[in-house]
Amino acid sequence: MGPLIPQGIIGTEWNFVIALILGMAFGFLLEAAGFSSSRKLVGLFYGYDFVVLRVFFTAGATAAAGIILFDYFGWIDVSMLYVQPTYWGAAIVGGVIMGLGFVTGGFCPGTSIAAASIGKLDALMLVFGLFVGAFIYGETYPLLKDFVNSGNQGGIKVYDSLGMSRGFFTFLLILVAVGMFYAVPLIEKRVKKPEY
Amino acid sequence: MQKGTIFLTLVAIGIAFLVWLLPERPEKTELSPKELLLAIKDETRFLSTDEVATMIIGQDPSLQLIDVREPDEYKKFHLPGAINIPLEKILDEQNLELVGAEEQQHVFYSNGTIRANQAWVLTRRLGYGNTYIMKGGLNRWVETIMIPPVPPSSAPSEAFDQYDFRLSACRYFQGGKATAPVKKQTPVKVVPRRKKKVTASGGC
Repeated sequence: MGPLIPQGIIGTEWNFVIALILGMAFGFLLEAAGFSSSRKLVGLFYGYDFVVLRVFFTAGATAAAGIILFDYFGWIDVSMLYVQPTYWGAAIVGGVIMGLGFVTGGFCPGTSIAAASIGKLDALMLVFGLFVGAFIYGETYPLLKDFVNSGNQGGIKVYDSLGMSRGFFTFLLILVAVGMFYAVPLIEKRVKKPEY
Repeated sequence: MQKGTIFLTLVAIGIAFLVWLLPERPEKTELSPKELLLAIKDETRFLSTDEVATMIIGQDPSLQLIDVREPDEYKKFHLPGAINIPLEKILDEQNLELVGAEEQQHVFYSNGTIRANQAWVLTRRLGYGNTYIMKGGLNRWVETIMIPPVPPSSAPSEAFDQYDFRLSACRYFQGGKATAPVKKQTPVKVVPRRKKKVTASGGC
């Protein structure tokens, strides 16, 4: 049955409408989870608050298990799902830039907009910086083009690279997630929590 | 520890085991030999040269002509708007991406039918459904559109209509001006409709 748009069950013109609704829900839930606070977000780096790790591991494990179950029931055609291609060099450099920006600015792109929407000035500044960065990237793209587009690995998947089955990888992922949920409070207890 | 936490942990581990043990569906994109045979038997993949000419002249935006001959042959002559993908390169990723574009009708052609048909079988086997073949290839194109044979005088009027079309198409492709083919209109019989009498019905 699914995915709904590539199968033609919902017209492609609905793409943006659905994206808007999902985006609003995403922003709302980010704010509700406390992700509009940069102290909470960078708590992951300093070890006093692991809510980011909890949320993203939950999301990953739920989505992975959900896709496998949906596939089993025949509700979704996994071969039609788009897998973002991997570019090693660009992904590593981009990851470093993103991580540096995250820990110095205190927000990632999505949460910066959630925080800007509740009126945080530092988040507004960060959103402005996002546009400046995008502008610089756009202007220097001809110079970066060769590097950005080099080493396309295609839509590779972790479990294929590790040589294990999809089910077993997801099994491990869920076990690791559950193990983390038990382990991180122990770290949180040891690190002094700043007030925020 | 709270009861709720233990319960959620057990549910998560249960789902983890379930996910591990569920059999994976084989990724089904390629056609099985049986399905391919059925597809090969289906003649609707063939477009006549006249149909292709009509689409080119009508500037049908969904038409994507693909020349599967060698690049030097393509350079010498190709149909307007055609792109060149030699048969050997049809399985390259970027070419397959092109053939996989759903919104277009991809029409393979070569000198005859065989190479175009091979390209069609390869891509159909991989699960690409929106592909067609120009039957007879460029040889038939020259025989029908470029040098259209004059139908014998005893031929039915459709043959003359077709000849007219081909002549104008020939002029179109060789840069001249085409005279628009005149369509015969069958007179429409006008059947007067009787007005229905409106009977008063109750209510508002």
